[in-house]
Amino acid sequence: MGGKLSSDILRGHTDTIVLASLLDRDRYGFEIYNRVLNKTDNLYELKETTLYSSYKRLEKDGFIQSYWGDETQGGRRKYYRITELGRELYQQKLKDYEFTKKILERLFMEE
Amino acid sequence: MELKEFIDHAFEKYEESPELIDFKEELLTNLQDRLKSLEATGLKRTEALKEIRTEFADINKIADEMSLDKKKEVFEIQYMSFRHFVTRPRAAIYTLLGVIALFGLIVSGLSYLTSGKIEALTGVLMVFLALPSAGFVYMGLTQETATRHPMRPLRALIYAIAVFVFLFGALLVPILVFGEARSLEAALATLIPFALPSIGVIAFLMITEADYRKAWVLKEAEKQIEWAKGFEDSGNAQTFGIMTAAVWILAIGLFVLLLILKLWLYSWIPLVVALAVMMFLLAHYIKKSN
Repeated sequence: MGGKLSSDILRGHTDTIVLASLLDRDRYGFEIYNRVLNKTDNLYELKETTLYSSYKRLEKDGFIQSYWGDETQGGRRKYYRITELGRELYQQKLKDYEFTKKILERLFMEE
Repeated sequence: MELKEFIDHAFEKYEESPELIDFKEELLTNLQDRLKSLEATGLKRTEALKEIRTEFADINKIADEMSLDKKKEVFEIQYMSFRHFVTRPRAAIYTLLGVIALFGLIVSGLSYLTSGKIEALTGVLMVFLALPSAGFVYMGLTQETATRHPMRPLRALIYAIAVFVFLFGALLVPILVFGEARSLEAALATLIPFALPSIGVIAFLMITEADYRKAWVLKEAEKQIEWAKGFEDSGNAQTFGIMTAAVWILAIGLFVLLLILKLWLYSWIPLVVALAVMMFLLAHYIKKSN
């Protein structure tokens, strides 16, 4: 039950997780997914389909841009780049999260 | 089953679009990398493939979203255009009606200028304006559009005839008032056989009118109703209605006043201002309700 609940909470932040993955450099789908796995020590698996929906949504709204890499062997990879608008959204989401965390901490604590 | 087949199989029901081809390619390279990383942890290839298949059991959700977007796009382009519904014969009839109406206006103007008689003016209009007007009514009502089903031909014909009779009668009035008869009684009396039955018929038809909106429009309308509730419940709708009525009464009063003062050139201004004020009020109250 606990695991299920936390995954629901995390899923609600998929967009922010994607944006955060692109802050330092451009990444492609598997890298973003892998980053999530590594950072969470495989404790939490963000469903890949959730991630793809997030890319599509973020790209449509102009928060990220995509481009094809120039790999010579094998298939091409689609990379994502965060836009200025995306960085602003990330900052906003971070602020929202800090605020939520503070509120929840107060509410969850015993008197 | 290899990755390529897995992906192709997952999307076989969906229409190929540039976006989908793009997405399949993106997915393939990502899954190849994922497969490699799973194998690197010591999983056998078949096990790794099985793992991926379980993970992507709901991959069609994205394809659903994409094809829905696509459908909507195609729908908007193809069906939202009015031209799609105006066939060549209909276009020809619309044009012909327009030409007849223009012809009537020019000829009536000419015959009035040459004869100086009001009968000449309205007499021509009785045929060459009333007839195309009725034609436009018929064509307009039987016209299918992106949002409306066409009316049945017989019903539309009754509307058209009623409009013709009404206009015919209405155009008789100036002849009787300003023409040689100069009889206001006769003018009013003509309203009985012409205007009265035609207005009655039109009123009856309008009251018993069916809903011609297409299914998708009704669905959209349902969404709009939810949105409009906020506007109406707040009481802003009533306030808006009263204010608008006040604005229009004022505007029409000013319009008539300017006409009486023979300031024809400026008479239209209050109406335009009223329209602008009404739009402004609407925007203001909608914003207030939300």
